Amino acid sequence: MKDCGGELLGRVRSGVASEQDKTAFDAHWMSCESCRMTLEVMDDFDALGEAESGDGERVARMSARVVATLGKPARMPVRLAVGPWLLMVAAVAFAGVAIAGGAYLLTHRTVAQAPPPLSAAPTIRTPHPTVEVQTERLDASPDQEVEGGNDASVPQEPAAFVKAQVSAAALYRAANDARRGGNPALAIGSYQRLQQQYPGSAEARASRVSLGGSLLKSGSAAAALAQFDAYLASGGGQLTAEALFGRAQALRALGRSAEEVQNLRLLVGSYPDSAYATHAKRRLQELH
Amino acid sequence: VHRAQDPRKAVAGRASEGDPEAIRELVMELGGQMLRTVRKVLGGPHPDAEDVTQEAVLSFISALRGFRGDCSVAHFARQVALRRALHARRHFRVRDKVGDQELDADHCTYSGDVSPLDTAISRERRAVVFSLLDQLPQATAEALALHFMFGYTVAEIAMTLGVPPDTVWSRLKLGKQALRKALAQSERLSDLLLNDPSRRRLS
Repeated sequence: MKDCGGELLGRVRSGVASEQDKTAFDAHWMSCESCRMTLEVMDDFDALGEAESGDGERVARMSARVVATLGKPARMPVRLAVGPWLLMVAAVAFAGVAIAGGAYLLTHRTVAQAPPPLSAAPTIRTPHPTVEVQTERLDASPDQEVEGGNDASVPQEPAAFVKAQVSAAALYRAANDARRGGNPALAIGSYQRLQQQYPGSAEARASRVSLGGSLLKSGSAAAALAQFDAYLASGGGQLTAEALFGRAQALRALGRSAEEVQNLRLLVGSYPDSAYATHAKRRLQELH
Repeated sequence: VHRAQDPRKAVAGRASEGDPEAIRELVMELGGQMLRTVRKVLGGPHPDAEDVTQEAVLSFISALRGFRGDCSVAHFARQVALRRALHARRHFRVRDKVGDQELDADHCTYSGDVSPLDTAISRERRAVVFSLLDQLPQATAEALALHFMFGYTVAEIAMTLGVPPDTVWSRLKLGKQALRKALAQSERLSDLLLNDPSRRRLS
């Protein structure tokens, strides 16, 4: 019977079967050992893996980690907030410089044109008034800096994401998934994050070849070359042939033909039976 | 639910672009389901369940950009979780060099009027299924797990895995044949069934 695949069984188990369905299933079930087995095994798994107390917190933790790993910071609000802040600092600093400079000039002109007053209060003694004024202003808190400002006008730090506690292996897999899923930007970001967070890990080392390839495809040949070089400099490994091939492609993109030839010869000599050797030989013929 | 009618379609699209709020919303909605999926495949409460689910969630969000919408976002999330959990099972078995019984030490406690014998039979049968899932080709194991563990129909499996229904039929047929054989070869299950006159061995 074709329905052994579970359509009828599914309706019966989910409680949406009609009376006709139930009659048909009863008749079928009695004669079909496959469906009896299926029903028993399905029943065995019903109670397994149910929700547990604390699952809400677990999911919240996972959510925070994923956002920290894959989420892009909300750029617009940060830019809008930082912009006026920097402008205000710059304006205040400029005003301070202008005042200090004016006072400095005024003092010198006074010295030149008239005798010093008996109880002259020192105005500005520093030979570097600009530095002093800026330091004072930057030491001031933002609340003091913005007169009459309210909380909304005070620039805030970008929302601090929960620090990622994702393992190197998980990051590597996520980056690889992004690369295979056709999301090179996300892949590059994840590989870079992996190398920053776990610089000594095996995954970070292997990621240099993957990241090099992704950078190469995105047109960043120099950055790609640095990745391949770093992998080879670390002693190479199972991906040495790939790294050499990627390095040759990067050098080609950069127009460094002499080094490309040298690299291709090394690849052919070291891995003559690899799939890359064929391409390398063809390219060497083109170059000669 | 096809993606065209899927209420999560829009938020999934934003999440694929890295929108933190969309990612958060999607994980909060589907993370519980993914955790339960992993837990079920790992055989119940497991010390690595959260880590495996974490990896699955990362993979799920990363893969959204390539998601074609052949199934609902929820089905897609379950597929990713299932795949990661099956992979983890095989990894744990190699890493820890444990047998079926150690890996699948029963975590399922039945309450109410289920007899200890029924519980033992269910436990043994699950162990046989788990052992088979670890050995079958990935594609067959996925189809079998979706069918037996989550009650998916052939149509649902085809939609979730993005393969024709006939392919699913074929995989299920192979999987069921293998399962029937494995159940028949289980001595422990045989011993248990001998003590239960209401049942007879499946062969």
